[in-house]
Amino acid sequence: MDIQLEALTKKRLEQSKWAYTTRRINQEQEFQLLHGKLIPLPGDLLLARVDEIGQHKRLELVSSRRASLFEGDEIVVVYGNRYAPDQFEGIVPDHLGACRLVAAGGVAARLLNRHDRVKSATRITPLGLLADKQGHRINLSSARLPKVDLIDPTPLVLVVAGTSMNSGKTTACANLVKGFVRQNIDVAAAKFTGTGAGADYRALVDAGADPVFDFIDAGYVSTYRVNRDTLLDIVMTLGAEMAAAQPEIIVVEIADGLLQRETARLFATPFFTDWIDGVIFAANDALGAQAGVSWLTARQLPVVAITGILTSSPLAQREAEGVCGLPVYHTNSLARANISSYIFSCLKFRKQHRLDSSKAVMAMDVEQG
Amino acid sequence: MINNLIPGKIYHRTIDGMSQMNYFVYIPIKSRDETRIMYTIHGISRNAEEHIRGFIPQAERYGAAIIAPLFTRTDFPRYQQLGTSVNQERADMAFDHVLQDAHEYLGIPPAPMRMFGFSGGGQFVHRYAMFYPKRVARMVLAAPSWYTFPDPERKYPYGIKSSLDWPNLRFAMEKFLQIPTRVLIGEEDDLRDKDLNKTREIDSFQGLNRGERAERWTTAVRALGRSYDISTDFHLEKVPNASHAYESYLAHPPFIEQIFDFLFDDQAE
Repeated sequence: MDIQLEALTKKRLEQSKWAYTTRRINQEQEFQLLHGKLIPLPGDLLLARVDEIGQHKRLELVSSRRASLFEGDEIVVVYGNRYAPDQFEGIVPDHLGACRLVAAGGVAARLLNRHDRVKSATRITPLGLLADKQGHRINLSSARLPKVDLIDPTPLVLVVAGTSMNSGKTTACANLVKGFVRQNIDVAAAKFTGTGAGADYRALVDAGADPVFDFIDAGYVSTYRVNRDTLLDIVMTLGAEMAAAQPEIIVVEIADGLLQRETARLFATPFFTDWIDGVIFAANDALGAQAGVSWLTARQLPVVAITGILTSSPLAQREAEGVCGLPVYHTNSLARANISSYIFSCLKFRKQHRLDSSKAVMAMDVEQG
Repeated sequence: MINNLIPGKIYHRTIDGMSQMNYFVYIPIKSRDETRIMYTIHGISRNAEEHIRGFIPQAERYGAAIIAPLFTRTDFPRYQQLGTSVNQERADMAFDHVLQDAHEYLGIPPAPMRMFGFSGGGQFVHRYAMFYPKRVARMVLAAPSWYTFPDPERKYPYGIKSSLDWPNLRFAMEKFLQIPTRVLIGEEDDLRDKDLNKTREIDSFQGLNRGERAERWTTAVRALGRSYDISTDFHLEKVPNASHAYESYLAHPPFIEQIFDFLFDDQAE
């Protein structure tokens, strides 16, 4: 037989380290191990053995604690595609053979490329896919939030995008959330794209956003190589869940740089761009800020400010303000109420202005019609 | 004629209150409209009357009255920053007394103001406009030494953050950004003269001379405007051959014309 099912004891599963990416899966259910000639899919859960420790010496658990890994450890991770210019590029393999741990949040993939400055990815051997008691493989999509058709448009929506990975987006998002919370503004937050990482999610929780989501809640372990419909599904699902909590503002992080394929696709999705009231752009330097702001404004996106790594340098900050014609806020200052109050009032003003303009256009249409 | 003041003459008026406040008024011979009023604020030489004298030809041509308050050195040593603190020597409040008196005694109607300020007066005008953006229709700032940046990270008067001296400040920046503004800087006003504030806080952030500071301030204001999606009308213009002396600005014939033209541009007949 090409495919075999193997019983899994509760004890074995309890001793395994469950990665952050599995956080929506009920660990109390009955599991079986499915192996043989199988083609894994993005989002499939697998039990794997750690063979050789490489770049990732720790695995982020469901609790986001970074647990040390030892050779021989059994881990529950998720197959997924990984796009990380500062680390690895990996894709879901077409077999259950040896592969790599390509993200600390728990993503298994076939390694394609790695950055010069990182070690080789930790080697793992898949022992099989996790299956339910009926023998069906378990995928993150089985535990996702429900699909929706509409998002309540009431809350303000602020998006943080950047030049690249490690340009200061996550810190900016967490600080923005903190700044709004300090003004007693209810904030919901989410990360729409990237690779499942507990640190990013927890940063938003720790800053005081409630609720907080990432694409895992929509059933996806990462967004690398997903199509436009999947991106729209993530926007709709997480956008609707956040808006349903009736926050005053929603903060959304978009991973990687604007040139990354899925990021660019998302910013070319009218439903998403129409939903946004403002974008804050995180950059590493003034030239990157200029390029990013030009890219966004060429698409008529409402960029309201610049932040990110460049703000560590007062001279870079001055250059960026001069060349981009936008306020530049130090990443850490975003957590201060006096800064976030201006960002909030700016978004409110823009939204009101947009509503007034569309009402005026509608009235003109009625008059002419 | 406004309340029987004889046109074509400069009047000096004194208001008694907590502290005495003086101001000068000029009513043009050919007044077109009682709402055409220019408010001019002197620099640290406190030459309020001289401002009016220099502006008479244009006041006549534009049919505009002129009001020039005088902030004395004794009562308002830091009128440029509107006061030394929220409770002390508030030049903006003294100016409000002038407005009230001009309304009650002279019958000058209250309306959004067209304001000009030279040097310290330019500092006063833009800060007054930040505090009371609805009261200012247009402003021309000539040669301010330094500015209040629309920066919520810096304490007032450097930025718009509250401090112990200036607590609970709230600025309606979206209104301030809609005030059409010209900043006029002498082409040769790039010296670090004795009147230039040279503290590290200002040098490092605003620039080393009035030219750099004006450029950075207009950039910052326009940047905030872009952030709010407000198409701002804040522009910096250079005045040929002018240094920092008021006379050197006046020596450039189009200077005063430029001020009046801009301040009353939207009221053109």
